[in-house]
Amino acid sequence: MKLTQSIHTIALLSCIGLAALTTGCVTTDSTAASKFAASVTTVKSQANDALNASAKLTRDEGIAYVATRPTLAEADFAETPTSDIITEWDITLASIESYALNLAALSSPDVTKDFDAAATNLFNQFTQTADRLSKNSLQSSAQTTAGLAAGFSEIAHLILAAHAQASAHKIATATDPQIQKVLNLLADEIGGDHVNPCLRTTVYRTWNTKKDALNESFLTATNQAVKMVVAEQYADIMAKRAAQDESLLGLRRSLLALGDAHHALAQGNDISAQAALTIVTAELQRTHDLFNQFNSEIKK
Amino acid sequence: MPTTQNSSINALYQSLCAQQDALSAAIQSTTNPALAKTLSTENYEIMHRIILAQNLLFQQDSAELKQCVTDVSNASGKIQSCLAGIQKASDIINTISDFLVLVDKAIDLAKTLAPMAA
Repeated sequence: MKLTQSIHTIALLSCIGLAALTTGCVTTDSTAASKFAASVTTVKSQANDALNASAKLTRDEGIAYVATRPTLAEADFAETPTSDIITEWDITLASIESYALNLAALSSPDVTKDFDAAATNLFNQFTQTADRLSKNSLQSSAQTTAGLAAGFSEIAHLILAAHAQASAHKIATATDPQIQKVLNLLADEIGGDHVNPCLRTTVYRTWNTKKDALNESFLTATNQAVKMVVAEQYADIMAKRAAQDESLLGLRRSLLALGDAHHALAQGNDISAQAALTIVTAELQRTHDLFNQFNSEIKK
Repeated sequence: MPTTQNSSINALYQSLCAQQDALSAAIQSTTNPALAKTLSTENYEIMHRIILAQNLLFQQDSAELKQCVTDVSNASGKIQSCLAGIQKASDIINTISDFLVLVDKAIDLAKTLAPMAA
C-alpha cells in the first residue's frame, strides 16, 4: 500500500474511531452477531468435511478407473474437488468467519474500546484476501476465484466507506450484497440438485458408476445366495449415495441460511437473523447425523 | 446455471452425463456379463471425464471450446443411436472412443485457457 493510501486509511480509521466514541451508535444485535460468527465457524467445518468426503469418494473411484487402464499414468488419477479448491473454500470461509467475529466485536457493548482494532482487522482481512485471491487464482476455478477476489475487493472498499459512518450496522448493510454474492457462489458450486452440472451431480454419478459395476457380479453369480449379497451391496451404495447427497444439500442450505442471517443482521431484523441461524443449526445437526451415519456405513 | 459457470464446459458436462445415463441403462438391461463388464469399463471412462469437467466448470468461455463441444454433441448423437440399437459391444466401444477423443481435446483446450495453469 502506498504511503498516501496508508495515511488516508489511518485518517479514515481515526475518524471512525472518533465517530464511534462520540456517537456510540450500535444498532446490530450483539448476541445475533456473535451467533452468526459461531455459525460461520461451524459451517466452515461442515464444508471441510463435505468437500473432503467428496474428494475421497471420487479419488477412490478414480483408482478403480485407473485399474481398468492398460497403463499406469499419473494423468489418469483425478478427484474433485481438488485440494486447491478445498483450500480456497477454507480460506474464503475463514475470511467470512474473521469478518463475522469482527462484526460481533464491533457490535459488542465494549465497542468504544475495541472499535479501532476490530475495524483495522476487518479491513486488513478483506484486503489481504482480495490480494491473495488475485495473485493465486486457480486453474480449476479461475472464474470463481476472480469473482471471489473482486467480491472481497469490493467488500474492503465498502468497509472503508462504512467505517466513516462508524456503525457495525452500517458496515453489515454495506457489506451485505457482497456477502450474499460470495455465499451464493459457494452454494452454486455445491448445486441445487443432483441433475445439473455441480458437485452434487458429480458425486451422485460417482456412486452410480460404482453401483453399475456390480451388474457383472450379479450376472455371473452362480446361485441365489451370491445374488443376494450383490443385491445388498447395490442397496448399500444407493443408501450411501442418498446420504452423501443429503450431506451436500445440507451444506448448501447452511450457506444460503448464513446469507439470510447476515441479510437480517444488516437489516437490523434480529428475529429474522435468529430464525435463519436456527436453520443453520438444524442443517448442521442434520448433516452431522448424516455424516456419522455415512462414516459408520463406510466402516462396515 | 450459475452465472460464473463456463457454458461450454457446462454443455460438455451435460453431454457426458447423457452418455453415462445411456450406458447405465444398457448395463442394467443386459443379461450378458461380458457386455456388462465392457459397458462398466466405458462408464468409468466417462466418469473420469465428468470429474475432470467438474474441475473445469468455471473456466472462461471460448469460441474454440464451443466448437469442440459442438463436435462432442454431434458425436453424442451417434452414441445414442448406437446404444438404441444395441447389438455388438465393439461398435459401442469404437464410437465411445471417438467421443472420448473429442472430450479430451475439449478438456485439454480448457486447461490451456486457464490463466494460472500449473
